[in-house]
Amino acid sequence: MRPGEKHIEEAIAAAFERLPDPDPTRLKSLEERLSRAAFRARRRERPRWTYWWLILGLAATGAAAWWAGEYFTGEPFDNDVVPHTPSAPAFESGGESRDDDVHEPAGGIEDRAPNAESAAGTGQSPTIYRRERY
Amino acid sequence: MNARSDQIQRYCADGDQTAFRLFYRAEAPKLWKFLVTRGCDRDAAYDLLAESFLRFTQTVCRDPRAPVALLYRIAINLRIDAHRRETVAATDAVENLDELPVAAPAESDDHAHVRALVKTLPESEQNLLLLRYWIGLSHKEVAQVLGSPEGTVRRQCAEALEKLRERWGSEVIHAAG
Repeated sequence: MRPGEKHIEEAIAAAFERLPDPDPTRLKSLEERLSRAAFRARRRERPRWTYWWLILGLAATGAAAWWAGEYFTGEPFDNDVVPHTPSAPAFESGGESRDDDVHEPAGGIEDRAPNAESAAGTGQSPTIYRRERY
Repeated sequence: MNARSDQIQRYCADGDQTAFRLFYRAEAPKLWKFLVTRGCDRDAAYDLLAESFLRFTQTVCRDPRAPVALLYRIAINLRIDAHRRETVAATDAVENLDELPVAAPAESDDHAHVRALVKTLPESEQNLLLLRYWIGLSHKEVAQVLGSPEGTVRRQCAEALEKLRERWGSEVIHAAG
């Protein structure tokens, strides 16, 4: 009569489980040696992460130093600068310019500059910039 | 098996030496017996056991999900290497299995009979059956150990069991005759 699969499976497990056990003292001495080796193996694994953390820390420090240098020694932001407004697009066809959109006084730059200097010289205009005298 | 996996994950995550020791105490005796059944000399089995665990500690934390399968894979590979070096026929050593003293004096004949039947199978099928039904690995874990697809392992296990059933039945008939 052929046994069932379950019976054979259990028979295999039981038959090999009944084999003689190893010497407990030898297993114990191996355990001590392997525990030390396992501890060393875990310590060897750690430096990989340590190096990455070190690199990350150095990068963060460098970035912080760069930012601080820019913040404390860089040129301050000039908030008073009037934002640049784009000029009106040039008309491609006809070659004409729209003089209606140009809000320039009737005189040119050449005309205005002497007037401004003369006004400053006469004290009619507030002093915007004065050279330091040593 | 889950308890073993938990122990190794604690070892890998926290460096828990106690967890590693518990794993060792649970697996070392069985691995030693396995190595002896695979043809190792008893002293050589201790050396292979130590070497297997040593390599295991160096590699298990890369993927600690199936530690027992990894341990047996390492052990089998080391056994094959040692066998090649020694150029000793594994079958000769396996035949010495019955010369070993049994654990209990009142061992039934059934156990020796089953071991003898298993020995009649090719070594690859012996490995399959022992890993699956004695060590208690799942088909998937056995596939990892032997480097075969899981479906192949299932089929080979069924075939090996069927062979054993046939031989078991024929021996009973011969004994009765």
